[in-house]
Amino acid sequence: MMKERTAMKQQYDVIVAGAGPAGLLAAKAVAQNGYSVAVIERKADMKEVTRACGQSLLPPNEYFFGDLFHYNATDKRFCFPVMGLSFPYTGPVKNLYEWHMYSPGMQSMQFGGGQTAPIALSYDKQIMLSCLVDELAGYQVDLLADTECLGIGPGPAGFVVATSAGQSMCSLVIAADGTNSRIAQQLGYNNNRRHIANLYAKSYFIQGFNSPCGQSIVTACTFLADGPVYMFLLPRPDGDAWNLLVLSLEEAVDLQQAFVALRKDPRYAQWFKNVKVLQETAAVEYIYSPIIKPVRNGVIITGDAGSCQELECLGAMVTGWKAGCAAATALKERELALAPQALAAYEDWWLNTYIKKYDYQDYLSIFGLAYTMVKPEIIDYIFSIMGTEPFAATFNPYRSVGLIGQRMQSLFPKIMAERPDILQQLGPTMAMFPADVLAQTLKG
Amino acid sequence: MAHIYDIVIIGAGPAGLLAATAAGRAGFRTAILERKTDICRIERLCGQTIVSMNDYYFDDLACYSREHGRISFLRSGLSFPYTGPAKNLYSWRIYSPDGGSMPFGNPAETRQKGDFGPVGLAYDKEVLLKDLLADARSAGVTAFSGLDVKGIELRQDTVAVSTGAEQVEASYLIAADGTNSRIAELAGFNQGRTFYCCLLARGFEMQGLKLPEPDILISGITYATPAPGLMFIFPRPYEGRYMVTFLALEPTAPLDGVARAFMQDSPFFSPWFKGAETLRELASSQRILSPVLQPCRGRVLLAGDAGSCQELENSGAMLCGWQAGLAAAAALKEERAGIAPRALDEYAGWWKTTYLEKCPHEVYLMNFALPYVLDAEQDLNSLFSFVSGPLAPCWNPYAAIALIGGLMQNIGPAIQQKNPALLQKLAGMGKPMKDVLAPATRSCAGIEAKPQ
Repeated sequence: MMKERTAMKQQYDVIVAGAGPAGLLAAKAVAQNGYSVAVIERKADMKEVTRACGQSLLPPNEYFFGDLFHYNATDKRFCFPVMGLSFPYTGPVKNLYEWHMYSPGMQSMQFGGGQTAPIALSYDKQIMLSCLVDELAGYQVDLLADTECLGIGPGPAGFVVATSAGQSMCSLVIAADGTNSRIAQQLGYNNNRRHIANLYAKSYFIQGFNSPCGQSIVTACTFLADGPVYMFLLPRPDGDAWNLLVLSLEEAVDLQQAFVALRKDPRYAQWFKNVKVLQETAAVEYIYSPIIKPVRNGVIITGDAGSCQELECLGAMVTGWKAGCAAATALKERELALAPQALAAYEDWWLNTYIKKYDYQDYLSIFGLAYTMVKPEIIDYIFSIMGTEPFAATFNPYRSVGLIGQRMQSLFPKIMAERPDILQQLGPTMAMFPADVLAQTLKG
Repeated sequence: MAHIYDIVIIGAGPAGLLAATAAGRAGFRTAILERKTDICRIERLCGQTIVSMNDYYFDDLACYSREHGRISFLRSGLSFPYTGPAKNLYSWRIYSPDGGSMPFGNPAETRQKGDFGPVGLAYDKEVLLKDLLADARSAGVTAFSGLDVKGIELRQDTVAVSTGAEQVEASYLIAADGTNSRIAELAGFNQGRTFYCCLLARGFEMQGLKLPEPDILISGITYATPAPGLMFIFPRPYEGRYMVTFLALEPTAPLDGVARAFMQDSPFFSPWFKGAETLRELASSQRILSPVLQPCRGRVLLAGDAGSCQELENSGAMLCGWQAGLAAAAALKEERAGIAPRALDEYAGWWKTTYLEKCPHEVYLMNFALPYVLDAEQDLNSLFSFVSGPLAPCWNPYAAIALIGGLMQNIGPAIQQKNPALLQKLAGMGKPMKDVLAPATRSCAGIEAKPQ
């Protein structure tokens, strides 16, 4: 099928690579100030979601990346009241209030309880992308779908960007090309990053999921023959559909087979007995340590392109918008021959808002659970002694890890008394950073 | 019965309207109350320029896109439509009574840079208010005009506002009612502020002026009145039209006297006005107080000129109003989601670092202080005679003082040699403004207590 493609102009102020939430919001920030911008996207349809994604915004009940996400139900807008960013989202949403985490032996821990503030907002990413694309139609942005970034080189007044749709020049490049950012790779950003693991994911939109805890977020860690597997079950924003993510850090695990096995597994049989698969997508993501300095010679890294695995949708939006504002400000500084400070300010912001606030080691603990706690039996024991009192209402990966860690520390005397063997077994991994545990185990 | 809102804003100027839009976009029930019957009509004198188009101001870079009809502040991402006319202003020149001058920027050079050269932008505030009001309404804001706030009552969880006709109650109140803010007075924000003096002004919108140079900002100083008088000429965004403004810090300098001194009596200035036609006349009277240090009290936020020393300039008011609206929205969200409060503290922190620290009011007041430090006409004439080339292009009251400070370093030795008494007088600029402006404070004593 022929796709209509806007011709690429010879010259732009800014070229944004990647039309996800970060890239589209970066483009909005640049374009609303009258600067010319092109967004190049590899996918044939910008509005389509072709890779596995959780599609939940978190957390609407706490500050995250310096902002306080808020869904304006009256006007159907996503709002970030600290930085003043807001944009329409006309799709369905569902408030999620609890997160239930299951151990391999079906011990569980709970975050949140009762209908207080929601811990996440489930939304439809295709509609959101579509809304963002429509929002950009109000400005002059060239949206170039089916266009791959082939390379970036120095140009007369900035860069020459080679794409599958031709060559174009620009003053600044914003790399919002996601967690496996090719631009970060090509420009050598990854040389100073640590490659920790790969994350293999399959997402199934399913119907008929018999949730053990209603419209909550359900996650589970389990050990299959080929290796540990994680399940994330997130209610879709409309109807009774759920988004089931099957995740593994090991290439040897066949996720398709894993799903078949999980459906048959007696532990989950009740959950999945009536399940019908509506749609499936997949993703493979490199997990690197984050980029510390996200600007190099006028290339601005933003969103998941610079993060450890991902910033969550919210982090991607906030950083994308900030990158766009920084680019517009940097262009204006050049026009006015002012001493440059905008890009350095973006780097400071990235450092203070992301790197210093959200430790990627904490983030990795979620995926590292099966490795740091070594055995299913140990995970079951730890879950079982955590008590029934729900943890604070959060689905923030960084915060939840902190909360679990705190409670676990207070339980050390109990573990020491009851199961000194467990502390002994956990000794080596607990003395290490999760990244080291993962790198060591997975490469060994 | 009271109208119940989440957030209510008093004053529908640029600060108030942007605060309202910010709150409304976040989905909160927002109302804005304006005393004038027509929100979009300008009834008080205003220069109607965006300052500092060529450099950072309030930590941000202002940007006007003619093509898209938008004004944006790039760093913070605030952007709104402005569909009216705009004119680039390429320099600013201060004149001494005998026609000596201190130019900020060489317009021949800056003009060549086109849209990248202006120090300021002349715009039509009535169109801006119309655009901002439409934007606010599209964000779901309810606007009431012709409502004069008589009193406010701070309750446990709300603020009640009484006007003659209506009662309005809201979780948060943003006072954006300008430099003589009644809300600031009523809510106790003015306690502890230093009263400096009043700024009395009359403006004539004129055409047919014969200026030495078109479309630049001009100021002048006169000593012909019992107290010093100032003139500012602001180009309007319409061909050949200017807002000619006369100001004084003391009622003893009658404004028609100041106007006469420039337009009729001064051998240097009066030829500019021969045969010129007055289209419209406006006036204003403002109390100059030291700024409010803490712009939040309970559920009341001060925004824009309501808490500043005289004024923040239009762009400062816009950024500040927007921040206040966002802060109120975030505070409400915090309250409803049970999140530990920080939004109002962050707003107060923004006010402190962006305004109080970067734009010290003592520096702002120096813009009015020159004729008080150099209290004789010949002193000012002499000072300006030492100025040779243009200073850096600038239309920003704070940056200008820094530039003049730099100039003094350069020409100080020459002044020392030729007119040491002048240098001694100039040292008075280093005194606290309270002392420098003491004569004005004394002569305004009678009107100090009466906010309008």
